[in-house]
Amino acid sequence: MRIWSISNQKGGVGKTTTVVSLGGLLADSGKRVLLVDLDPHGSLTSYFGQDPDGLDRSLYHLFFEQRWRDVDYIRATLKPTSLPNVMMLPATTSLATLERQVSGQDGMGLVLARSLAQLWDEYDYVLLDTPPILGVLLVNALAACQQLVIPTQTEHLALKGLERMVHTLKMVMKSQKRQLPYWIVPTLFDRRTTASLTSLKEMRRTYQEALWDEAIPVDTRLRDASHEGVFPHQLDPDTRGVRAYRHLLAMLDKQGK
Amino acid sequence: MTGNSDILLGYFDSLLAPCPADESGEHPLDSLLLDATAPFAGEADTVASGYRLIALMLPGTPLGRAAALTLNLELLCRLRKLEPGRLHSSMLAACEPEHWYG
Ligand SMILES: Nc1ncnc2c1ncn2[C@@H]1O[C@H](COP(=O)(O)OP(=O)(O)OP(=O)(O)O)[C@@H](O)[C@H]1O
Ligand SMILES: [Mg+2]
Repeated sequence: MRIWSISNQKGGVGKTTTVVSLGGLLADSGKRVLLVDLDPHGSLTSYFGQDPDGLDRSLYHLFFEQRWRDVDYIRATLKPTSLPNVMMLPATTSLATLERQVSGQDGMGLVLARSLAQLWDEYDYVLLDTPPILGVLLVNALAACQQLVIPTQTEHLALKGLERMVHTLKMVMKSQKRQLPYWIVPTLFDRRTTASLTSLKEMRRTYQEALWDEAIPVDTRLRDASHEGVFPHQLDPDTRGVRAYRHLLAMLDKQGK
Repeated sequence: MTGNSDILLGYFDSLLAPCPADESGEHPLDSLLLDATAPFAGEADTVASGYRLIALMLPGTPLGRAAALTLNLELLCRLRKLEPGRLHSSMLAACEPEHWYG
């Protein structure tokens, strides 16, 4: 099992889109994939037609009564997607209260890692879709993953968010006493705008090694796929966005080995 | 370090500390697993305090060693589900670190 977290403390940078695009492409190459929705907004959950307000089981419930020890409970919590070899661990809106509910209890950052350990032989890849805030859910994702992907919108405000994310990552690594490789992935790139070009240049200057040397372009087909509730490559395997995600996957896969 | 970083680091340390349930002796194999992985803390890493050991980065280590380590941790993981008995104790013995590299 390989676990990748797709995270940025800034909102709207393409985290969920990246999870779905990469997950779909992995499944297309025959891998067994699990997508995990750690965002109380439940964008990923809604993407595949589930209602984050209506589900009676989600990631939230694994945090209580040590349910993460119960592999049957975890399996029964999973929901299908538009592909048979991709399952999803959904979010419910109750996740928003998690911070408060678990406050003061040690070890609550390891619940996801422990849950995934129970499914170790059942999936080849796990992709974690995280909320754009620092809190117990993001810490769970960082503690569980083996590689971090930071989608970063190519615009000036996004650079601050990137800086914050890298800082958080460094502190979690210090606390866990381990090294976690990370990749910065420029998203929503539009070569016609100066904001895209100058912010990309700025990223390159600050984060040479960790920056992917391509970018995910603006592509409305990605948005169309989310309306249809299907993986982008199912809608159009050759659209620019899907092609860029295919390149990204090849790079991540190589690095993760 | 700024005060802000101190606060955040305390927060991470608490979230990433082993669960109280693990310390209560309810799952003695957890602590065995922790002990077994401790010598490798610097070069490999544990997920969930040792439920599984993931060889995250083993620079310059031959693959055989990482694989042996993973296999043994797999065994330890299975062991948690076995009732105490002969199979349990022989598996446990096989997981002793001195048997790890054959
Ligand atoms: N490359 C792209 N081209 C066009 N639209 C995109 C692209 N990537 C993402 N989008 C759209 O931008 C919006 C935000 O993307 P997404 O939901 O993936 O971001 P996010 O980082 O997960 O947001 P949040 O922080 O709210 O969870 C969505 O409407 C999505 O369809
Ligand atoms: Mg999202």
